[in-house]
Amino acid sequence: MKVNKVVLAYSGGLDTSIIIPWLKENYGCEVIAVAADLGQGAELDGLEEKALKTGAGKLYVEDLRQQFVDDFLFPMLKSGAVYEGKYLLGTSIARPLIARRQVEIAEKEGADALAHGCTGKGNDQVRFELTYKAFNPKLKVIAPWR
Amino acid sequence: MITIEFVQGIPVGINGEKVNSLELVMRLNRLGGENGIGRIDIVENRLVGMKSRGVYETPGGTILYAAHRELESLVLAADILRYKDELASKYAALIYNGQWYTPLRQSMEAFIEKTQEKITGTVRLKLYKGNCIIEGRKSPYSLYREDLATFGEDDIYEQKDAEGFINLFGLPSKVKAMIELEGDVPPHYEHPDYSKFKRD
Repeated sequence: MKVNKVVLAYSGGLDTSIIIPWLKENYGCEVIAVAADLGQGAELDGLEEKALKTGAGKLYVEDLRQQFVDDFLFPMLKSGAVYEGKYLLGTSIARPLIARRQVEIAEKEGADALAHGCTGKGNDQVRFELTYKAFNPKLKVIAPWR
Repeated sequence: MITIEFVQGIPVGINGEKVNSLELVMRLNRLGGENGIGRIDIVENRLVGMKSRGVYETPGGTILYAAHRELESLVLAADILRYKDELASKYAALIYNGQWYTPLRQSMEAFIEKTQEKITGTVRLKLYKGNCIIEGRKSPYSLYREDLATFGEDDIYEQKDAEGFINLFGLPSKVKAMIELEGDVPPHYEHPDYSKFKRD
């Protein structure tokens, strides 16, 4: 698979930090990192320096907090959705928003691929990729952890 | 003790003060977190097949869900409330499985929006040692009528009507029992063995 420019969903944790040089080594492509601010606070400190140091061409830090509350959390609150009688879906509901923003940035940047750090055993890979498909099924998907 | 105000299903204020939605969620997360509210330990079923153990913390969400539900109990008719409950578990599965951007989810949202037109009012709650305790609820669209629910006399409920209602509602039970008592069909309910209960 040939890739020129990839947009990575980036948290700055161990997994997505390693993925940046891995993508460059394996595809020889430019890597644009996207971090979503969903209220995690101090976890975002020093993120740009970290991303650039590990080889990203650019880092977007997107403040999605207001949109997260108004377009995702409150509609879910109104529905009363609870998974298996217990889980309030805080992680699940965030994924479509992050993935959608990632697609928008890929289009703006003229990228031809998307990447995420989800493993092959979890739910998040599905949540990210179903959203990619819903908005731009032509973009290639790279999931290095599976 | 806190009060949360809702307009059409959306929380718009705390303790009588109008607050921006993001600020409201952040404030409830802090308040709930300080009181140990909204932590769960769960063995959940992942979409890809296996069970997994997770620990989550949703303090603000837990408070908002409790308050919102309380207002719905006051305002929604019984049949809508039950139908909405059935829908909620399906809606949760769609979110869990990453199907937010699907025509099914959007269609369900249209129904949910319609149900929220009168979910306006205030809920009082106490946050205490990990618990979120409802203390009261109020709405201009409340369907609760104290004079109707109390067991005294009133103008719109005729207690004598209940007799006919029970006769028709219980008709299947009555017919089945009569058939069993008349003969060949063995009775459905076993007689309890009273000898195993010791008596002084």
